[in-house]
Amino acid sequence: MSERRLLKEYQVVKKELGNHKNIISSLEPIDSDDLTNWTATILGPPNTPYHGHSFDLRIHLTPEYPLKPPQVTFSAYKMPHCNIEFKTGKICLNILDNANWSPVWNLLTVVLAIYQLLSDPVTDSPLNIDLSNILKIKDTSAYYGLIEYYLNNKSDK
Amino acid sequence: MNSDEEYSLVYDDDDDDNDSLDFYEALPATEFAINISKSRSHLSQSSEFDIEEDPLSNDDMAESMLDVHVSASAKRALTEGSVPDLKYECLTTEDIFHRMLKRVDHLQPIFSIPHEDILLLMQLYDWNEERLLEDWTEKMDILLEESGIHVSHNSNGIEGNDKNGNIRGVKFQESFNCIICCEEKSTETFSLECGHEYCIDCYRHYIKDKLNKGNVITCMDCSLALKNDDIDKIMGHQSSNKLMSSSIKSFIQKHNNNYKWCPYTDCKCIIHLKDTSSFAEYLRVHCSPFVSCKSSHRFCFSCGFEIHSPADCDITTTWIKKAKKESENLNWVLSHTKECPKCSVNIEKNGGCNHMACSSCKYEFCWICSGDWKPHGSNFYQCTMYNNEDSKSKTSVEDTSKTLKRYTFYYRMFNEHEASAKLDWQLGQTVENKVKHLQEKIGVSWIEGQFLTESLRALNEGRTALKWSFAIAFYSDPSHNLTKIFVDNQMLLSNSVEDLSELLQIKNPEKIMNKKTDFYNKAGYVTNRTLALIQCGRDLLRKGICKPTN
Ligand SMILES: [Zn+2]
Ligand SMILES: [Zn+2]
Ligand SMILES: [Zn+2]
Ligand SMILES: [Zn+2]
Ligand SMILES: [Zn+2]
Ligand SMILES: [Zn+2]
Ligand SMILES: [Zn+2]
Repeated sequence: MSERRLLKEYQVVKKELGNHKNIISSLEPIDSDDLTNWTATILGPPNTPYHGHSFDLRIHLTPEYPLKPPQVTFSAYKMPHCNIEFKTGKICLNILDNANWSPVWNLLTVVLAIYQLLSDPVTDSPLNIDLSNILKIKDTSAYYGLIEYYLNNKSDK
Repeated sequence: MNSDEEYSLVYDDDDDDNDSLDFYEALPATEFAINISKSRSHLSQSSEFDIEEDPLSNDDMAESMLDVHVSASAKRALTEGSVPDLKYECLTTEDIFHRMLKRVDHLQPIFSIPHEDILLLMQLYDWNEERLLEDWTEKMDILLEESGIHVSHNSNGIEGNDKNGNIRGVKFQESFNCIICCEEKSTETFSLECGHEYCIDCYRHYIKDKLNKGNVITCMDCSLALKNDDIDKIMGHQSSNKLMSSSIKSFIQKHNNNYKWCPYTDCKCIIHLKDTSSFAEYLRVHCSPFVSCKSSHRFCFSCGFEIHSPADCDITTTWIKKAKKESENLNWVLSHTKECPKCSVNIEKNGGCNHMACSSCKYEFCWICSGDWKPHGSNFYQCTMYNNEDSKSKTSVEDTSKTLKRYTFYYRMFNEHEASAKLDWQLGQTVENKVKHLQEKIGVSWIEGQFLTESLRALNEGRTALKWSFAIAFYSDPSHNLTKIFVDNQMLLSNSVEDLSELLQIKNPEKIMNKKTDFYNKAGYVTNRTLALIQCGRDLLRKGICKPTN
């Protein structure tokens, strides 16, 4: 919707990304002439089974952005997480819903919120039933084990 | 007189249920007699409204069932457009909203906050007054903050802002840098007391879609709520009505046990069932507990489909599912024109009547089977397809094709009656004109002309019952006596409907007035036959002779 807003975001990201080095290793437009398609790489948070791994995100800003939320997905078959559909990388996160999205948020807010989701899976709205079930019964070793297995074995698909 | 009129109108509810007592409510015999004058001679004078206590053996029952006893209360129910005592009202979203506003008025002395704040709380609580009152007495202050009516004390939004420094509303800024669109311009802006100020264009975009959702709309950066007045200031006069209407709509969705939208296209009526506790009982007694909206659309409150007596909701949904599944195989072309089987001139069907007469060669034939009408005259079911059906099949291959053929027949009959019902409806438009004509041409009073309207209603009801009776017939055990009785009743109703449909096509006003008694009699007869068929169908269902299968 707003060329100016996209340019502003680009500037803000370039300026502020350095403050989030331990979280976001990259966040940039795929092609610097087109500020509607972005990629990001986030690092697995400490004290989670994701620690030591990194994860790629695709971000698409529709013409209605920032009045509508950006469309964000993980790479397919790469992200075993309770609220992420493994085979598509689709994310279930409340701030990415039309109804909950606020235009005052920006790309950095979104990526940081997704990083937060890795530490705080929500079992109520699962997109990965297996992980959600294990999480519900609080079987931590099985939970870590299954994610390890996904990350090491299935991600080559 | 047709041979069918030998079936007298005594039909007994032989079941053990007690509701039959209310159903067979006594009434002045004269009122009843008008409609069955033709068959009165077959009724014994005293036993008209008696209830026979003893359950009969199958064969006895079969005999007695040919006698159709029609109770007046049930008849009235059928003609007045409602199941007896089913308490409901027809509303619009505006009506419901105005009721909510009245509730707000009532609550105001208790809450002692402005009306529009209470309205916002009601909206937030999905118009559930009890739950709101409970929370209000428990935690008034927290509620006012959570709902976004009062500025939250620990909100980040007000950091660095003087709480009283920000004025709620639209302002004009000579040079404003909006953080949403990042434009710097001279523009109108809007902000609440929190001071989160954005250009009016961004605010409009933000609000626009949310008006259809019905939820409370908050500031883009904090939980402070926009009130209806704010919305109107930003979006223009009365825009908040849209939000309120969306909110009421979601209220209806959440209360779909006692609120139902009229299923007719573009109808904005909502039926509110006032008495849900006894609804299950109505469902048991009446196969299709129908309601009627202000625009006279009648539908089954239980399944939301059109009135489908004698079929119950179960049979109806199973039948529709099957019809959807099979319709591609069957590929019926339900056209309104057909060639005359004799001389091939194109003939258009102009009413529901299946009795066709070629204008060119005068050949009279049946619309459904294209056969000669003569054998149909007294028995509509003389159609060849139906008769083929009776012969027993020998092999399983034959059986399968028989089953399909059987379904095909019922489906075709169902469809034909649906098509006829549509044509009857068109006929209805002209009936209105005819009534006007009668008034102008021969000075007939409006009330006197009502017999035409009444006749049309009887016709529509008869046709609908007939249509759905084919779903019942299809799912009924064909070898059972009661099924045979049901089919006989179908035939009788069908004949009477055809008769009435033909009568309603008379165009000459004088002729219509001369036939007034005929209209009364035939319409009354259709009504009684309709009810008899419905009652018989209900028994098939109750006794488990008719069961939905796939
Ligand atoms: Zn703006
Ligand atoms: Zn605010
Ligand atoms: Zn309606
Ligand atoms: Zn129904
Ligand atoms: Zn006819
Ligand atoms: Zn002809
Ligand atoms: Zn025929």
